[in-house]
Amino acid sequence: MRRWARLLALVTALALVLAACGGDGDATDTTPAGTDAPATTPDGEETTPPEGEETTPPPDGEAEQVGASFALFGAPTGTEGDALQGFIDVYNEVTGSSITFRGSTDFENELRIAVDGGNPPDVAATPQPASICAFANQGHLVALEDMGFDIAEMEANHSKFWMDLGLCDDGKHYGIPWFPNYKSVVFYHIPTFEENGYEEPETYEDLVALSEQMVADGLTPWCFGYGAGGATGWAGTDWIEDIFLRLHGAEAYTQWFQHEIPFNDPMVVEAFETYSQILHGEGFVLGGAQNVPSIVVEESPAPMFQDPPGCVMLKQGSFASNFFPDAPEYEPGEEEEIGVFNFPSIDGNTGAMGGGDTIIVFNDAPETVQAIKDWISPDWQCTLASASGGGISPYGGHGVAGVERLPANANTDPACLESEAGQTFAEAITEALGDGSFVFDASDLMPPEIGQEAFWQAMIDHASGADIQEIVDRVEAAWPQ
Amino acid sequence: MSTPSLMKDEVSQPPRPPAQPGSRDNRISVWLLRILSALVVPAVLLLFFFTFEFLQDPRTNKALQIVVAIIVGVGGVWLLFWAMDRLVSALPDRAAAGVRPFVFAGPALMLLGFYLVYPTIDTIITSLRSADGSEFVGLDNFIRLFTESTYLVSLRNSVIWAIIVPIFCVGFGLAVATLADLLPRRTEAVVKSLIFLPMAVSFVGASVVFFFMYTFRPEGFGEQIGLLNAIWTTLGNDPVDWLRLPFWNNLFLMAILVWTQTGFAMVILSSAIKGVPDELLEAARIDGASEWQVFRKITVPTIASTIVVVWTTILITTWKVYDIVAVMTGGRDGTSVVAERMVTEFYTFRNEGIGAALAVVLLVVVLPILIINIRRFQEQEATR
Repeated sequence: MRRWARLLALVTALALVLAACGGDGDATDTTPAGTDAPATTPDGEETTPPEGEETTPPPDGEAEQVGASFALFGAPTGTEGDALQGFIDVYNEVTGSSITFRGSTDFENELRIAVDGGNPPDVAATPQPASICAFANQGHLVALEDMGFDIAEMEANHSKFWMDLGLCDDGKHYGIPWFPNYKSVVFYHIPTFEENGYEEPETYEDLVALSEQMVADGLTPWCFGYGAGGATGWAGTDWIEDIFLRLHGAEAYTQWFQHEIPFNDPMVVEAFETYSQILHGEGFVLGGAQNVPSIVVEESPAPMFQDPPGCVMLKQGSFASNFFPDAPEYEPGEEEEIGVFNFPSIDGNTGAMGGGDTIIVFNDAPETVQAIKDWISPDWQCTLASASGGGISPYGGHGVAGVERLPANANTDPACLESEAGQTFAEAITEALGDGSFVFDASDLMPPEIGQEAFWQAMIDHASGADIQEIVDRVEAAWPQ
Repeated sequence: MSTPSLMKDEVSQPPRPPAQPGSRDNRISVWLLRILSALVVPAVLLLFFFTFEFLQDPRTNKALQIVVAIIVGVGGVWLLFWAMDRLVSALPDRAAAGVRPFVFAGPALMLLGFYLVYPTIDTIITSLRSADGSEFVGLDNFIRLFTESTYLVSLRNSVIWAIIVPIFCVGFGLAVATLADLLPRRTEAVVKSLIFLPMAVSFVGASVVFFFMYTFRPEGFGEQIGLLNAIWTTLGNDPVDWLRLPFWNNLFLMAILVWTQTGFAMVILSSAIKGVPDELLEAARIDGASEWQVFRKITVPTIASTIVVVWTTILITTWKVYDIVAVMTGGRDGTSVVAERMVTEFYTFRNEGIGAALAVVLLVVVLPILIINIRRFQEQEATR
């Protein structure tokens, strides 16, 4: 009898453990959705604007009652994820849909595993456009042509370059641009500019001349930092990409990352040499160019906030304000200290380099397609752009203060963003989307052997003062056959 | 014939003498049952696995999930016990004794095969295939490993690691173990605990600690907060970014592993040293041997086999080192090692063929050391 009791106890214990494990997995899966609703603290704020708007019917009323129901999987987590959840909540409420969102820091791997395991999400938003055609060629994705998207119109409004990243072997498009980020940005110390009567440079020559002027005035113009553990060097690749784009144009840029132009081509050497005018300029760089790889990216803006500032300018992505030091509470645009200007032109060529999240569709229910078409429309892009939608959004904003997203539709009003810096970025990006000069970060589009290793090492070696031809030859040799 | 009381009897009965050559049928059915009983556990585990899948789906009804969890959890384990009990006790007593070991060891062997042997074979096959595993390329991946500079640097570094780290670990460990032996009891315990403490720190944790030792800040980015640079600049030198110094950066990384592994060497060697018979040591001292001579001629030869075991254990750890390099440098500036390279090729570059080939290299080098180690250990145990 006792033996049976013991056996029963053991069995029950095991069952409990099993149930606990099951419950655990369940809990982690639902937490994002579960906590997000309460976590978006301005819940009241968030729900009131749509309610207020509902009394005034939205334009055309086309967004009404879509009734879409699907699972969206994306990369944003934390406040970025909250903002996306906020956007989905507004959309669900306005259109009577029940769309769920889940974000993951390990998005790439999770998506690959889910797809390989035959259990893909209905819709995913990927920050790595290079992976789109891998899925499409395996037959997992639905083409835009088959869902009734107007390709010509999309190429005009969402940048042909971005659309082409989702153009796969069968000649169909699979990627839908959703929201970009922007890297062709220079941050600068406004008081120093005002005291010395400096002006925002229009051209690269002006930028070099301005740097020389600063050195003559006893200032150190630039802060740099490449350090990022195993990813050290990535920050430098942005410079080469921005310069290459302006020197040789978007078409050559595409040929470059597709390896139709080899990495040791004179065009690439020219980009490195142009960059050297700043990086290796006499007295241009705080701490010296050879030490740039030792400075952690996140610590590189700090000297700009010292009194007097240790440096005046910093080129970094629009996201850099996230790691500005706390000392003078910096909010983009709200604080007078730090301003932004677009990376200057070369030979009259401008351009916008960045990244972005692209929607891919695994399951094309008609309501799903309608929801996605809504999301890339200027109206809903406006909701996605900021907490309030800049006060002009027909459906309000996503409700999470401090999170701003740039629009992927050229017709979006930059005023949908709240901050001055955000509006500057949005103006540049909408213009670039429209005129075809928006490009993706090339290192993300190159094979990982290059974009996640050889190119980074090249930037480290370049900072250390190695011979440029040798550097680019080494990258070319590492390109997988 | 199976009653609850029988179970008890069977368990308490001593193993019977080897079975007499019975009928052929009986033998086959015994073997069949042996295999079947070994399969029950994996089968139930498989059931559990699919249940987990079901339980993790966030869209399923929660109450239903709980019910399924209880039914499968309770039912599965019950099934396991019942089936094994049934199988064994259904046999004639003599056969039951023959099957019983397999009921217990069988599932373990099966799982071991599933988790160790199968992946090993699969890795070897993958290493003979192309980057995406689509075509057979023969030894191409291995030829690349031993001809291309990227991989040669990793191999060179790993070999240097495998030579230097064990020397320092065993050297320091032996020195501390010997010297601590001469201390008063309580002091010895304190000293040994301090040296052993880093063992409790993970490699990643240790790397973070040493990151602050090596930290470097260029002019304009604040004071030197790295210990090494603080000392270095006090001596009147310019600060140095230690982790970017060609070749030397490898040694700075090795120091981290030495720091964590010395404690392990010390503890094992210390217990071996305490096992050296006092009569031997006293005899040597009476004969006029100096302490150094006692150490060289008596202590070291006596604990030689322990030294070999410690040495090879650390050698294997060193050969497989990954975390430290990945966290500190990610293999840049000439610090890559084989295991780090393997992960980068496999996961970052999706270059499965080369990644698997590197894994095979790791395995092939470790195997003979492992075999020697186990032999040594068995000899040691046999003489005990």
